Amino acid sequence: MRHPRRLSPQTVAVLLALADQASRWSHGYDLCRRLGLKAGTVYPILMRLAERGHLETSWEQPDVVRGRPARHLYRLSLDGAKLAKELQRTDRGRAAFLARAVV
Amino acid sequence: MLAALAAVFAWIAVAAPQSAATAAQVVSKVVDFTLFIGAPLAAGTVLLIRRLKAATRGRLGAERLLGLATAGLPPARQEWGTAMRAELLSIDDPSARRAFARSAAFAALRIGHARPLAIAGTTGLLAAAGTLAVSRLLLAVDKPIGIGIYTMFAPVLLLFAAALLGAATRRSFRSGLEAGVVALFVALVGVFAVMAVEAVTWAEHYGVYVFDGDRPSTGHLGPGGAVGDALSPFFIGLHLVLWVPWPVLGAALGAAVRHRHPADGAAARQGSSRS
Repeated sequence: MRHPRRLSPQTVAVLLALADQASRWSHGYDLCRRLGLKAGTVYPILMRLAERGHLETSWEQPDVVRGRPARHLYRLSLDGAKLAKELQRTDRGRAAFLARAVV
Repeated sequence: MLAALAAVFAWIAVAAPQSAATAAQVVSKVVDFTLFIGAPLAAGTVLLIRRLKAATRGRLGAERLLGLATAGLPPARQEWGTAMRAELLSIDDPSARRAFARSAAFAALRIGHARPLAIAGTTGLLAAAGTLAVSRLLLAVDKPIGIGIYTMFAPVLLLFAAALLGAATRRSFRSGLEAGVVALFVALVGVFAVMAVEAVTWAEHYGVYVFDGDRPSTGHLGPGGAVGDALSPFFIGLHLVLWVPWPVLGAALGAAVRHRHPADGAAARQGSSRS
């Protein structure tokens, strides 16, 4: 596990938001809206989390009816879920603050 | 395009007072121009326009912005470019689309630049170091013929190599172009900084301009005049025109290496899943 305390508040917020979804998949734009963060902040975080193995990614089916391409989906991997739990355990006050901020 | 550029230069060569000389001299100038300026410039422009058209084809506004920003990402990042573009298309509110596109485009332009920037910085410094070495070598062998021939053409090879290396190592035209363009600016600053300093030395030792080794018509060359000549907008513009095509050409050649490894690009495009 990589130094959870060194994660930025935004990264912690993304981890907690995904942890809140449990095993359900999330879209990038939905995360942006939910967290009140810009895409330019959320996507680099998603990239880093995926590269570190904290995130699973997948592609949904294209929306043929509306003519829209398949969207990318994200959820925590087992490692990511452990990290989120560790964050909540070791930094409960901060996590609680961020959890309130993202709801 | 190349023919048009050659025609313009031929007209300039004929119209210029000093070249009212022979037809052979005009032809020689046009050939030089075509080889060293016209052909690289035309090839670079055509390549760049084709890439830009491909990145923005069929897209408007926010999509075009994000399409440009995510065009030519390295294979390891292409999936994320596709993800951001697909997400953009799912947003119905126009202002939210624009905000998403702007922010995501900014993110796309920032990601994964460490290696191209390292290549660019090294290349720029090499060009500046080469300028200093050539200047000192010419002074050491007592041949004040000017260092313009070096500064105009040697950095071209370095810029081409930097862009080629940047594109080939990441299998991405864009990475090569970024490396080449940043190298161009670092080299431009470095080379002209060295030229400005060396201009004073050349003026003090030989009373000549550092660029071409000519003496001023007044006979006396002070430090201010020497530096002013070395940093004249004409010389800076001349170097830019000579150098600009090569990052594009190097990046195009480097990116062509990707075709030797089609599996890498295909894997990135498919969009892998860790689940």
